[in-house]
This record gives sequence, structure tokens and C-alpha cells, in this order.
Amino acid sequence: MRADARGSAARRGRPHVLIRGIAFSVAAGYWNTQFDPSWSFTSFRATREAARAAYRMAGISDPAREVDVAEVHDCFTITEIINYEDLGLAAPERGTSWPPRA
Amino acid sequence: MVTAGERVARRSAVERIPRPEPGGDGAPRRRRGRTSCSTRSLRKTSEAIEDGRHVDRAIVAVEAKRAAILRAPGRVGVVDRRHAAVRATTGQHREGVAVAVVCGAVPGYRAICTSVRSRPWYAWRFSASRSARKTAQSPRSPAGCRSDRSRGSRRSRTWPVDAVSRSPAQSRRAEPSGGRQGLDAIVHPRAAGRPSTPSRRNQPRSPGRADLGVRERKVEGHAGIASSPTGRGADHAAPRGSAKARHPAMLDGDGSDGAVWRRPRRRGPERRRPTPRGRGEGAMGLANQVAIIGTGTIRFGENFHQSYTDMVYEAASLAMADAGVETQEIQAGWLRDLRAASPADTRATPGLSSATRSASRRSRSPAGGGVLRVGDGGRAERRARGRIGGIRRGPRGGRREDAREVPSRGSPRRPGHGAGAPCALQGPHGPGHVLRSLATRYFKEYGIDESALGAVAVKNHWHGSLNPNAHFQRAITLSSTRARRRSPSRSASTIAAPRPTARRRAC
Repeated sequence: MRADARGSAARRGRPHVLIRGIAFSVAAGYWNTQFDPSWSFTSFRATREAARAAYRMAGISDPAREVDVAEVHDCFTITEIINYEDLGLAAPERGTSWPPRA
Repeated sequence: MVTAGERVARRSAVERIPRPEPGGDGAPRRRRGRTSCSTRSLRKTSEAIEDGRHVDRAIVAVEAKRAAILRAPGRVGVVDRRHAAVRATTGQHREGVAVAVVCGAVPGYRAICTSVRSRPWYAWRFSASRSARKTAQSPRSPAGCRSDRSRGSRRSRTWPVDAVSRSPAQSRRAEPSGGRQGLDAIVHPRAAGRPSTPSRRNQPRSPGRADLGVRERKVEGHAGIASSPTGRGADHAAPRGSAKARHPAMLDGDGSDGAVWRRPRRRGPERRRPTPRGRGEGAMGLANQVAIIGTGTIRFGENFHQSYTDMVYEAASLAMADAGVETQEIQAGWLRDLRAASPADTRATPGLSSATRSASRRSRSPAGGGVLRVGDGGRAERRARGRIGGIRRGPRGGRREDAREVPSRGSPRRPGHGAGAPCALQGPHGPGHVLRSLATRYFKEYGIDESALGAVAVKNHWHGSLNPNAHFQRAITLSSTRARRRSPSRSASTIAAPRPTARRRAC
């Protein structure tokens, strides 16, 4: 799969999703707040950094417009709202109004 | 589970490690030295290397928490005694990951460092002090014949020499042979295919080339030069066992032979920029090279009829069926869990269990294929690398298998205890309490109320109504959520955040 992922998947004749960007990040915060006193409790720094790196790899400059489907972590409802903002899908303080409703 | 027969087979595989054959100089085969396979023997390993003994395997501890047991005959490592870690490479180096091996450290051997993260200073120190002194003391290798024998055909696979530091003994060996035949090489990946450029910093400070030429003539004409590590005669030899004897470069010259060679600074022979991490294309090599061709999801819910292994097996089977692949086509696995990756994951995944066992026998090098099981714990990594290296050993010789099943509700075993989740995540420090503080802070910071959460819940329930594997498959409305919040029975549906008891309130 590493050599030619798209070609290999196409030869199988099956629909596939090509990974264009992937990134990981680890940061203090969350439970380990003692290691990051600047944590505001309203954002996850690791999410922001990972999203920034993944968007750069995938060539995405405006995720709110260029991303069609997003499945975010939603262990709790507030987590999903914060992830909207950290992933750039919504502006800060605007996570509750995203996705835009018709 | 590793059977006794498999352990014997792996042990036999270890014994069959190909070793460098003795060269044509008739030198006997090197005595097989100490084999170190545990953390406590790391110190002995480093001592053995510095003493010039052959080290077959070595425990590698990087970042003070991760360790790997690797073996690769013909590779040479660099010992970092100050940090009690071994930093070396096997060509599969990744930053921040324990990829290291120590092998083949014999007197006069070359310290080859292919890691940009390794410290050239240690390579220099190893090459300049010990190997040079050992070679000089060797009665039958005034020109480093043992080194030549040790290098053998592997020299053709190394990169050109990039940064070189010469001790007087090295220079004596190097100059007559023309170039760096007798020098220890510190090789970096960036130096591949590039002409070598010795740094001025690495050159001996006080002695000039003319002095070295004089010394060179002395070497050729005076066989007794080997009695002193620095080639300055027995009168200037440091007491045996002293610091100066261990580090001949520390000897101060008195100008008798014009050679004053001081120990260089600890800084490496050449500064290199750190490798960019997480920046730009190629920071992670999966982009545009990996495609998802199948997924598998079991039905979410309280699956009391299934064990954890059963759930993993079902999901993996569904994914393979979705992708249209057979178990024989699975080449590698990256298994991750909230807990440290347990052997249950491997056993449960079709095709991976047998592949793991076969890979453990087949692999002769860390770069070999196989199943790499990666968890979020160092224990899983050690075990995975141990498998790849053909050595199966638990931390500190502990339990070899620690497969844990998720206990069912009501079990006396707490799910989070001892399975990767710290015990601190209990009670008021649990996820529900911590994330509840996020909501409180968010509301206060941005001036919104809890009604914003209802909109998200309505959206998620609507998505669940479209998913046959969802736990909640009934769509709700915003008004129903508000009505539910006013219901006194809402606490019964709270799962992750139990209501504080009267005792906790008192505390």
C-alpha cells in the first residue's frame, strides 16, 4: 500500500479513501494541567498543532470550506464544540454555531 | 501465548547470528563477549564496549523509559554513559523512538553513527581514546589489522567519512596508509555521497603536520611505540587506571616530541541542524501513500455477550471483508488501544497472530518485516521490538503475557486499574468531572448557556439514527432534550459522571 496506494486500491476495484495528511501531537493539558499552567480550559493545544500539521500536508488552507466530512471526538458534548474550534472548522467562540444550519 | 518450543526456536535463532569471519591474517576468532539483555546490565554493556569486548546484543534505553532489544550483526553503536542510554542506529531510525543496537565493538573497531540524533562527541570519544589505545597496545596490529579484519566487507556499505577526529595514534596509523584507512569514521546520513570534509575543529590543536610527520617516522622505526598509548614513550605514560590513562588525549605534552594534543571540547566535531519534525511534506511518510480500503465497526453498546477479544476479532473480520483481503495478505498491524496494546489484540486480529510468530522467527534484523504492535505504553513497544528482534523478553524478566480482558460490569476488577489508565483518574479526577469543568469554563468565558449542548446532541442523535451500528438510534429534538433535563430521572442515564455521594460532598 505504501508504494502506490491509489493504484493498488484502484486495481482492487474498490472505493477507497486516500490519506493526504496525517499528524499526531502530544501536549500537556487535559488531565495533566499541572504541566501547562497556561491552559485555558477552552482548547486543546495538541489538537490545534496536529490539525495544523495535517492541513499543511494535505494542502488545506481553509478547512471550513475544503473539508466535506469531519468526524470529531465527542466523548462529551463540550469536547465536540471545542474540537470544532481547534480543528479550524469554526472560529473561536463560534463552535456552538457550527455546522451552519439551514 | 509463546510456547516453550517457540522460545527454544528463538533462542536457537539468536545463536545463529552470523558473525564476521576472521580475516586472512590468521587472527583467531574473537572471544565472544558479554551479552546484555536487561536494563541493569546496561552499565556493564557500556563498560564492555569501552573495554573493547565484543557485545552481541544490548539493551537500548532511549528517553529513559523506552527500551528495545535489537540485534544486528555488523552494526556498531555509540554508548552514552552519561545518560545511561545507547544511541545508535540500524538504518531504520526515527526520531524519538528507540532504535538502537550495539554490536561489534572490538578494539580498533570503527564507531559508525548513522543517526542524526546521536551525539558525535561520543563517537569521537570512543574512537579517539579507547579504540586508538587498544590498537596501539595490540602487539600484532600496529596498523590496525584487527580493525581491517573487523570491517571486512561491511566497509563497502558504509557512507563516506564525513567528520573525522584524529588522535596521535590514529594519525600514525592513518598517514602511512594514505587517508582515512586507519581512522574511525563518524558517518551521518547527510554525508552519504558527499566528499568528506574534515573539520578544522577536529584537527589536533598544537601539533602541526610536520610534527605528525616526525612522529610517523618514529612509528615506523621504533617498535616500542606501542608501549605508550599516546606514542610518547614510557616516560610519559600515565599511571595505569588513572583518568589520563583512560583518556590519553588529556595528557599534556611537554614539547619533547613536539606533540601536544589536548582533549577537544565536548562539542561534536560538526554541528548539524536538527531534523525538522512535523513540518512540511514528509514529516510523516503516510501522506498520499496510504489509502483506506476497508473498515469494520461492531455494534456499539453494552456488549456483555462479547469479550474484548471477541469485539476486536469481529471488527477486524468486518474490515477485511470490506476490503476484500484475506488474512494471508495482511503484512503488518498497528494495534492501538486505550490500554497498552495487549497480546489479546494480536491474537484477536485474524492473520496477525500467526504472522507475529512467524516474523519473530524469520526476522534477522530490526529492519525485517513482521508485525509491529504499537501501543501507548513503553511496555508494548518493548515487547513489539522484542518480537521483531526475535527476542521475547518481558520487562525485567517479568511476565511474558499480560493479556487482560475487559472485566464485565460488576466484576471486582476495576477496568481502569493496572491496564494503562492511572488510578488518579477516579472519582473527582475522572473524565466526567474534568470535562465538566471545561463546559463550565467555556460557558463562562463566552457567555453561553447549556442550550448550546442540546444542539450538538440533537445532531449526533440524528446521525445515530442513520447508523445501524450506533448505540442510540432514535432521533431527538431540542425540545425533548430540554424536557429531559427537567426530568428527575436524568441521573439514571448518566454513565461517565456519577453523582457525588453524600460522603463525597462532605469531603
